[in-house]
Amino acid sequence: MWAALAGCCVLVFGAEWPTDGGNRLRTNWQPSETVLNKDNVKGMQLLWKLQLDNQPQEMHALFPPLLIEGVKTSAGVKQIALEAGISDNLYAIDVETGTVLWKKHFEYPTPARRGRPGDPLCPPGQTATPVIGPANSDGSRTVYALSGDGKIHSLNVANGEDVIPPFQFGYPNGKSYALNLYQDTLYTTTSQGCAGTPNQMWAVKIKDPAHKVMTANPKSGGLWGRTGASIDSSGVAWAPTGDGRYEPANKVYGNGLIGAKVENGELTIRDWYIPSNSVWLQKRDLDMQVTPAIFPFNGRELMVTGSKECRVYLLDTKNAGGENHQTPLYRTPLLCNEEVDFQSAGIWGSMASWQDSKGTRWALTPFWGPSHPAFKPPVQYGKVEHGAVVAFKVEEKDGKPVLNPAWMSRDMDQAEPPVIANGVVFAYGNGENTRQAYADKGLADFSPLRIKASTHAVLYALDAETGKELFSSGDQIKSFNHFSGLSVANGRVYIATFDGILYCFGLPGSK
Amino acid sequence: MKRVYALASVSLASATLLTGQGRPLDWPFFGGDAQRSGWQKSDLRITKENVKDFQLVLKHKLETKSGERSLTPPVVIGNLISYKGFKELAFVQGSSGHIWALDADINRIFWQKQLASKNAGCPGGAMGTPTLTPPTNFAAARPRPTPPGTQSPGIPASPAATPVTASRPSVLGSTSFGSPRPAFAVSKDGRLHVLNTSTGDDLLEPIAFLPQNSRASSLTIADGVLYTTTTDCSGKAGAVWAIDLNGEEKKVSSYTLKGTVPAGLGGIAIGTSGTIYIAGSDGSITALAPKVLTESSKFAGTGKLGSQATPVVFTYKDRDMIVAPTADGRLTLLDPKQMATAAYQTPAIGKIWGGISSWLDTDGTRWIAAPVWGPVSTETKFGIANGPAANGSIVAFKVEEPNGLPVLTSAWISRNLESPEPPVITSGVVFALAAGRKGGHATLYAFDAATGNEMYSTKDAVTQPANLDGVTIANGRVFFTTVDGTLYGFGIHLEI
Repeated sequence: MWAALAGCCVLVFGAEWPTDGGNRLRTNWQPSETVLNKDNVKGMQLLWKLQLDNQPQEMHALFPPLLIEGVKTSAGVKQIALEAGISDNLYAIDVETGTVLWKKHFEYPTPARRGRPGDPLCPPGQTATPVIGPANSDGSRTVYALSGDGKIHSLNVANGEDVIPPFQFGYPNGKSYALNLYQDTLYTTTSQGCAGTPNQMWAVKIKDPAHKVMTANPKSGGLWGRTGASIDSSGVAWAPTGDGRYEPANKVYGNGLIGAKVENGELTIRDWYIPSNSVWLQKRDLDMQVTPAIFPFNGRELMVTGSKECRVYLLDTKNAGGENHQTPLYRTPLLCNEEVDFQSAGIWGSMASWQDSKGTRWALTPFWGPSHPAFKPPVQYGKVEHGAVVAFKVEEKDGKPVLNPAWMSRDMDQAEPPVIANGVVFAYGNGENTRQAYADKGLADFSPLRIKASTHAVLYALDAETGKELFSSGDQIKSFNHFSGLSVANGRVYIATFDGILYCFGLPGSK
Repeated sequence: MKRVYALASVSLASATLLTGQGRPLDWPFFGGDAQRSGWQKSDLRITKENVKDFQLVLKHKLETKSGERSLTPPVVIGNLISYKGFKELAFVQGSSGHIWALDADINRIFWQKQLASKNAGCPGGAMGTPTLTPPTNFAAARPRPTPPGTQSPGIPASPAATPVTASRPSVLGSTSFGSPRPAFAVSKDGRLHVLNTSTGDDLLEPIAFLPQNSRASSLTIADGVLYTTTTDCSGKAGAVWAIDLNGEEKKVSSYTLKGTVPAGLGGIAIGTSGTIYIAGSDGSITALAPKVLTESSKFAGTGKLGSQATPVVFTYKDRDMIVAPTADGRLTLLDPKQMATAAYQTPAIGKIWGGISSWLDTDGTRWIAAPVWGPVSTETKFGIANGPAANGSIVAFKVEEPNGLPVLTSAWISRNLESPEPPVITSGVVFALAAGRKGGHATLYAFDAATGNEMYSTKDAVTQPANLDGVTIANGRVFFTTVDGTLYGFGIHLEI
């Protein structure tokens, strides 16, 4: 019976969200969505919300849930949302009922080192969104989670029990970013030197009995792309490097994007791209810090990334930046950040890409702050003051791929990386106060100040071809979120907030 | 596992503080420092090799009154973390009573304000060049972690990244990284304004500081005390002023010059011990105690009023030395411990104008450079000459000890310059501005600091004469202003 039911569900649903950004390419595209579409999404409602007991740390709270179906639990076959919390919690939630199936709290002695209390950059605890592996030989699924003491926990999704003993994959409180999985190898990135941790890319083979930790260090200020590294078809992991100098002779790759691959037991930097104005980017703290989205295009594999400067770069994964590593396939004009601000403006987080039914390839970026007055996309929806999503068509011009702006969304309060599903773009303004410097205090990036000044997130659904608003959650979400994201599968859209609530939106009756 | 972590544990906590071109540099005072050296010690963006590639990188006409000293030269914060982002700001004050903060990278006014004044002050030029609080210290680097699995119970917890904070008055702001740094300026009524560098707002009620109807020279801060000099509107009476910003009282002290007025653009120069040195136009040099400005020693002048340059103080073999001009056109080398007697005097050089500059080259040689208006005296011969210099020049000397005592050895004389201003130096390059006051236009030159050989010139790029108030150098750019109220910046192109 369970098998039959599971088979039924696969036929009806068939969509998962096993990793941050939806897949190892970090496209934020849910290609298997069939329930929600641009005609019915206006009827979306809050299906349920669940208060979790996760304690926020600094501004971090909950990460985007991972979504998996057909899980054989003791309570039956379930579609499960795995929700990770900063305070070393992992919750398995029955998405049909919005109830917790199991909870795992990672226990360990309080590490000797942590970030400065009040510093939003370095919260203690579990900072990386976990990743779910492919089906094991027995059909079970394993979720890999990196706890705040730097250990990988390999848990059975069905019950939260350890599949293998935990093993070390980083420093305690080292602020790792979303885990990614390519074949047998787990990847993460670290930044901001939290608790003294080096800023670098990390890899470990799950099946290696020694669990040798492999690292690639670009000697920069931090690899803080929201969804960590994205991994191309050849197994090269790409991650932005944050602030820093560019000195290729000394293997210093700040303010750029590195591609590293596991070869001969080591994680080696294979390629890199550094914008030609990297000195300017560093001078004004306009970090390259956006996890790229990787996608196929006309026989090539391309990727898009961006920075706080507010340009989008189009690169070829086989030769990022050309011979001099500084020549992108295409670079957009400034979309925003005329003020040259390092805090509440520019592109933050990650990118998105999808292909429509006509074969058109799209690339999307979020940004914070006002749009640039010189940026005039063909379709826009009023003045953008606080942030928006911009959609480009990836097209060829004179034999070269380019990004042609198609539309810019309505204003959103700090627009975050969008997710695309079945012709609908799901986007949200996080409602977070992102101010780090003040006229009277100077640099005072202090969590209590920002938490107090934050408002609430708003979820939007947009027509993916035009950017037209189809749905808004209005005031239904009561809190903001910081460095989180959306997940979409099987007619449901999930967003978690600072106050520990996971919201599930969908069509009424689909519960 | 341990091996991997050992390799990986390179802390890069400071990566965000250094640009690819080095740490952002300030130019907080006239002359770049309180010693008035004119030397920007570590501008990595400028080299002898790339100075030929200098170009116009900033030109901004400001709405001020044209004429003599229409604008001060800028003082520069290399990196202000403002509420609108990281900014390199140049602060300029105008004869109109305005002060502007310009984003030096993108040539955009960040803020401007009219300094409130209770009277019109002296007619003519701007008040003294504004000043900034001295540069910040940077937070200590974070300690390296212990590899996972090997933490010892004895390892202390990670520090709270507490910034290095020196004790200093709150009006000067904190020294911690990213803290606000006020700017200081004097309005025409002599009141001191303490300004928020992010907004231009007065942080305090303007403080009564200088007498009304006086002209101030450059403002300078040392050890929480702000100094300047004044002359009255007629230019015949002069004084040195100090305001102690360390306490609530903001006590003002002064020293009145007798029979002379302050010489040169910088007003005073300050020794490493805090001693204030004021040069009179009679060639006298008076040493004053810091803050209280009581006279401690003096090098007597000649009685003839002719000196027109601020002295420079530099460290030579672990002690301060002073070089100042005499009223009859020589350079005097003084040991502050024996002020009454010159340690050395050059033969006659000429009309030394504005200020003296000094730097140390990579070989450890101490150099002195001075602008000369008009021809150089035949009494002084230079080993290297760069063509006729009938209208003016920069002359350079080495501090040497041929007989165990320091002397100034003439080294080179530049090409001809019309009304040169005190030069600024970095990376082995001397930048000299010919103000072009006799119906011409300003021209900025770059000279090889070892030979005076011309390496670059702005030629006819500037169409107006320069204000006679100094040159600024910071972060790959050389700034000056012209009489029509324009701020110019020439330097290495920064791709934006």
